[in-house]
Amino acid sequence: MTPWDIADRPRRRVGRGLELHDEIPSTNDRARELLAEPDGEGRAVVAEVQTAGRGRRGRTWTSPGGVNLAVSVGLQPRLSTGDAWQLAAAAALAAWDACNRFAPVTLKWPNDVVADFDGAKVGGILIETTLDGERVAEAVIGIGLNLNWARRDMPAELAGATSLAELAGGPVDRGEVLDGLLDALDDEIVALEAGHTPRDRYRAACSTLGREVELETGEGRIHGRAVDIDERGELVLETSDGTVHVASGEIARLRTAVPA
Amino acid sequence: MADQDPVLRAIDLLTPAFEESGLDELEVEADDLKVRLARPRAAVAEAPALAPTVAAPEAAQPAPVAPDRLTPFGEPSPGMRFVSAPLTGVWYAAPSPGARAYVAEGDEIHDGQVVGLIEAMKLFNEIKADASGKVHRILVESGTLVKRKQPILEIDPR
Repeated sequence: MTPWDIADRPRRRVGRGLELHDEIPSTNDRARELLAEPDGEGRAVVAEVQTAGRGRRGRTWTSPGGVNLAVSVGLQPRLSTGDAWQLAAAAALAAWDACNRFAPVTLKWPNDVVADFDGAKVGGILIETTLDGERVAEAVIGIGLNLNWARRDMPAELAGATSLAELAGGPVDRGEVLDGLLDALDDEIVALEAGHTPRDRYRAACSTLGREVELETGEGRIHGRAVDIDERGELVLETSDGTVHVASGEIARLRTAVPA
Repeated sequence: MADQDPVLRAIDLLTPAFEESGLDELEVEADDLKVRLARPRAAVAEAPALAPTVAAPEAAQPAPVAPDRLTPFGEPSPGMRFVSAPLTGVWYAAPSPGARAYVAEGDEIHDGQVVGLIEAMKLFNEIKADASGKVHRILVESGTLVKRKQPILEIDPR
């Protein structure tokens, strides 16, 4: 028996079997390896501890064993390069849906799951794709969620983070969260491959919209009011210099817009 | 068709004069059409080259104008060809900070080889070369924004 057994059910595209590890360098790397193996596509790789877990641009993703959820799935999606961003929106919506069954959360652009009431981070998503011209050849979706990690036990560098248990007021069943996550992600990928964009639902779940944000783009900071997600997944900001569409960036500061 | 779109036609007409003018911004208004050309500031995520922005009444602009249709990237040097960005995002020449770059000028690369990453919405996309040859020039600095169809490498094909 493992905490994850409840999630081991047949599905269409995502979560077609579980592969469990006590410790592994990276669930994303393993999910990518599985794409080269028979029936490896869609298998969910879950690890208690990652020794080389990745965050954005070389940041490490650390988590103690036994309290959180780190899962990756590799796919060869039927998706064009221009629609690759929809994978990020679909994965974010699946994580949002799975967490919302336990406590109110929203999405911070592009794909952080955050507490509804104070914006503290519950989890994040890292997707790695291989593009082959105009189509997405391979995609690995990695999702990390803080579940039963007490805030007081988190390291100092995670100030501003929280966990689903903190928001729910008590421990959550990690297997149930994984089960809900894989179901939701399976539904999202099936819909995506059938040509249904997650854009409208993503906009509805994204609490960044309507707020004043400071965005770190790597080429400097932009300040403006987030007003939309465009048809390419870019965040649309109204700035003092006009409308700006941002494909990549990290929100450095976010506050509720002052009513005009 | 692009040449029938009044907004695009106006931009085509104004861009050469704007490029030579040294102005940071040029705004022209005629009837219900308003076109503003502006050079991007470092802090604004627009194309690294001249980036026109368009403001026109909703009725006159039924669909958003894709910036990549407005940004000319020129032609490769004689005998060379470009490897271009398949999507808009931040270009990374190496798999992680401090790691060795996927390719360097002078390297021989082959069709299908990974030459870099483009990140958009925390989605890291491996970019593959679509031809074999020798890397003649790397046209984009790592960490900067690239637009869809913008050339990243110039290669001497074999």
